[in-house]
Amino acid sequence: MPDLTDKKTAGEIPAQRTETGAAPKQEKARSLGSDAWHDLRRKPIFVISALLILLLIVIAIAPGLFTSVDPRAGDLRLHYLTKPNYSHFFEADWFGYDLQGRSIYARVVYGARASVVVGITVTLGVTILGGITGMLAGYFGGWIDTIISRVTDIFFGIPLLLGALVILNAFTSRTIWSVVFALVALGWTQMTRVMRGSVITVKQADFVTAAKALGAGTTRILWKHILPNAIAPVIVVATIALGGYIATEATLSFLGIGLHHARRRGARRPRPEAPLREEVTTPMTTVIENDQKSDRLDVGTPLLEVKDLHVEFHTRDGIAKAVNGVNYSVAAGETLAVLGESGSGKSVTAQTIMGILDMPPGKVTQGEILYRGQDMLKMSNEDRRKIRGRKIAMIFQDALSALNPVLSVGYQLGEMFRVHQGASKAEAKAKAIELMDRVRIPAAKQRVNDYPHQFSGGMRQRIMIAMALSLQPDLIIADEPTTALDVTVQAQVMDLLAELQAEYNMGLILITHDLGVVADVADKIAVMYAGRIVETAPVHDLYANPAHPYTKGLLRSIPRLDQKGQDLYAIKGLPPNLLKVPAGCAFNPRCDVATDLCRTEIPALHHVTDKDGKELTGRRSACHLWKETLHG
Amino acid sequence: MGSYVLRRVLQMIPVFFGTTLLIFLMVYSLPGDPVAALFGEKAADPAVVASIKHKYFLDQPIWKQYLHYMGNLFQGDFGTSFTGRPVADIMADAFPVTIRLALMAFVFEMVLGLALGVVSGLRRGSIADTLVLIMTLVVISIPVFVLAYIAQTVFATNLGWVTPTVQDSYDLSQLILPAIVLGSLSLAFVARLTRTSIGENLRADYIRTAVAKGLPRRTIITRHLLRNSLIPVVTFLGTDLGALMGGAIVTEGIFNVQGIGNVLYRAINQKEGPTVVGIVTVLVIVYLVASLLVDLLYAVLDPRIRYA
Repeated sequence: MPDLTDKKTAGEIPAQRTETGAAPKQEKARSLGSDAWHDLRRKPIFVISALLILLLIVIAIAPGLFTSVDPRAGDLRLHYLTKPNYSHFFEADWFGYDLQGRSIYARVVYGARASVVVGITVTLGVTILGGITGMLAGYFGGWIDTIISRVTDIFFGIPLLLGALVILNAFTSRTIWSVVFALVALGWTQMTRVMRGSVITVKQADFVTAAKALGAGTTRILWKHILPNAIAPVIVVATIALGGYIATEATLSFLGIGLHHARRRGARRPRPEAPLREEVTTPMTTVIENDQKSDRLDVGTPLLEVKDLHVEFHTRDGIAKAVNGVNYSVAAGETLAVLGESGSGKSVTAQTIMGILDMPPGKVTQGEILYRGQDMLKMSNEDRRKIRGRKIAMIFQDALSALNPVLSVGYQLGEMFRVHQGASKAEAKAKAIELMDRVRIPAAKQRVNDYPHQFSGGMRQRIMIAMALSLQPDLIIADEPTTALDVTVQAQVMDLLAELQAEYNMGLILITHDLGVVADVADKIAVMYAGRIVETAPVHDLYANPAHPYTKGLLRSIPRLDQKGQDLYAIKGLPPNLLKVPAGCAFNPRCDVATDLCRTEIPALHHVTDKDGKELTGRRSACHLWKETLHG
Repeated sequence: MGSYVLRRVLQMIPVFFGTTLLIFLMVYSLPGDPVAALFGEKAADPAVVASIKHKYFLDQPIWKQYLHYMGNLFQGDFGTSFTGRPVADIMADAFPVTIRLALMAFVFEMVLGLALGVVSGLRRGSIADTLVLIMTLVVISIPVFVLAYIAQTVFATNLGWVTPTVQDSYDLSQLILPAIVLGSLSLAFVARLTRTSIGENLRADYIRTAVAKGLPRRTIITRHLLRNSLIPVVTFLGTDLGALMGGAIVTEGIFNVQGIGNVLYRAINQKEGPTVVGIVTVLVIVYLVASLLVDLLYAVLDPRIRYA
């Protein structure tokens, strides 16, 4: 486990830098650091490991506290006459005696001292030496970098153990410091490389440019701005290397070249485990849940119906209710736009429909998702898989990360035909080219073997669309398909999607937070807030006359050409924390017209009527004051 | 690609000379008189010492020694050890043994390491995963000489399956146990690296896409997950193969394998300059070639990397 003091420094060095002010990134680094430190202290494994390291350091400083026996004093008879007594804690014969009759326990205690001293001093030495050279190479570049980099290359060619053996052989009397010298002399280049890479990254950060623009000197920039931000990876590598140096020293001793008295040190030293990221349970096994056999398909029902869906996330801080009773339906050829801020539950609903929600932490607690009348939540994994891609397909937001970077787009497109239709390799490729033509990718034939990173953002999103369309599914779910694109490209991609949807008569669920995208393509809109639908309406009715204060606020916050010179409206406050959704209407703390009723009672999704009391088809509003909002 | 390889090869030249010079300096300019060491406890005849020194160029300044050595090297002459045996002969005896040992260790660490890593990466938190984590942690924490002694005690002394040390270094079956010990540390790294890499890639967007495409789990794992996850592992394996070829001083020593590591260890202790420098020169070449291959392999595996 990482050394206690090192971790602390990692968090605190950036924190001291905040008085320089002009560095937003430092602010972030600081809060991250202290958060991590806070989290660490609550982890028992960290506390235990830290205590062990501390114990080791205490042993190194004061071995006399743990044994009064001289590790060098041996009585040859002891080895043969005395057996180890494992219940004699902290006594000379606890671990028994070695061949020369020395107490093994005492030797372990004193041996720890050599290990800790070598480990810490070597680590400090290589960090300082490597840190300085790495910083120079990374910051100044040019010939300084060339020289330093070549020198590190040269040192990398010599194995550490081998070099140490050669160097130590030159010392006639070897002390702990000759070992330290040999290891530092050979090991520093490792830190140079790490520091150089880190400095090169930090050097390009905006706050360094800002500091330069403000006229800060080179020394100041290096010391105050670069060092604190670049040191973190070095410290991580140093913590791991510490264990390595201790092991190398032990091996040198074993080979008879290190410290002579330390020869028989055992393996009793905690070592840093490779730092693994905090792990969350993986999605693979969990996209799949029910195993009941499906019934016959029922024709004549809507394509997809979501009924009273509830989804929760079980987190460390409590249960986040992400979706709380969502109802919507889509028919063939129809476009439903689901509108909402991040955290409104729009994407979680879509992922649940697709069956790609990470479970755990996600959990469907209630509700049905009917595809042509059949509850998909009750289907077997295999049945569900066959619907995915073939009947219901999804378009993701960020095509660059949603496409596999190491497979050609032709392969990824063709895979649909190979897996679902058993097409041959050649057929699949021909179909892939056809699809790419269909989404108007120029020179499809030449580009079919290209990789995702070789396409522009707009082209990649077209490939995503082509992939979703490949098997002509009944329904497409598009999760913010244009968010990552430029405005002009956005329009092209949306047009393409709308055109293809009409052509194949597919249902489309368009998830977005952008009201502008919705207006042209959607038939009806469902507005979501805090995991509930707060208003549904045909698209033009909603724009013309919203029946919920939240929708009203959203519409007012769109910039308009006819209102030049005015301040842009923004809904006050922030979306609610899903761990603590406000009582009553979740929107009430941000609502201008909220009453006491709104603060206590959750509004039902009311049917909406016009001024004459005639029901407006397709219109619902979850507001106690829908009448006032709509007509007032 | 071609011009990249050429540039890399050109860059290797100064590194090659630098590294060999460094080891040359370490071997010849550090204190300690190798010729005197030849005579052991006996007093040496100054005339004999002088003639030996002259024969091995040791009476020349260090830079002349280096140039002389390099000149011979490019004519294929690795020099002669102080015992009179050509260094090339010594290496010809030892390298085949080390290569066999290294390849066996490599196959062992690769096959088992990948298998363990994949299983534990896919089933995080399962019993299998926990076992893999604990086992690899133990292996990583224990210095190799301890592991070697444990293996010796268990398999030779207690079970009697093998002889404690290798009797015939050319017999592959006798090399199995040393190879396992030698490969075990890297195996632990491979398993952990694979596990972490798989865990990270499992959460990648393109895996979500693959699920949404309705691909069977098997296809998702083999086609989409493994290829991406293996990139860092392959890099590690490539570098490690280079390192294994350098011989294993400790493992070869304990099991009495007559490979490069053993020869090198003895040569260092006896201040056998020509042998040390000769072997290290070859090792530097192996290292340089291995790291070039790793870089090229990286580009093959990850199409985002194109060397121009």
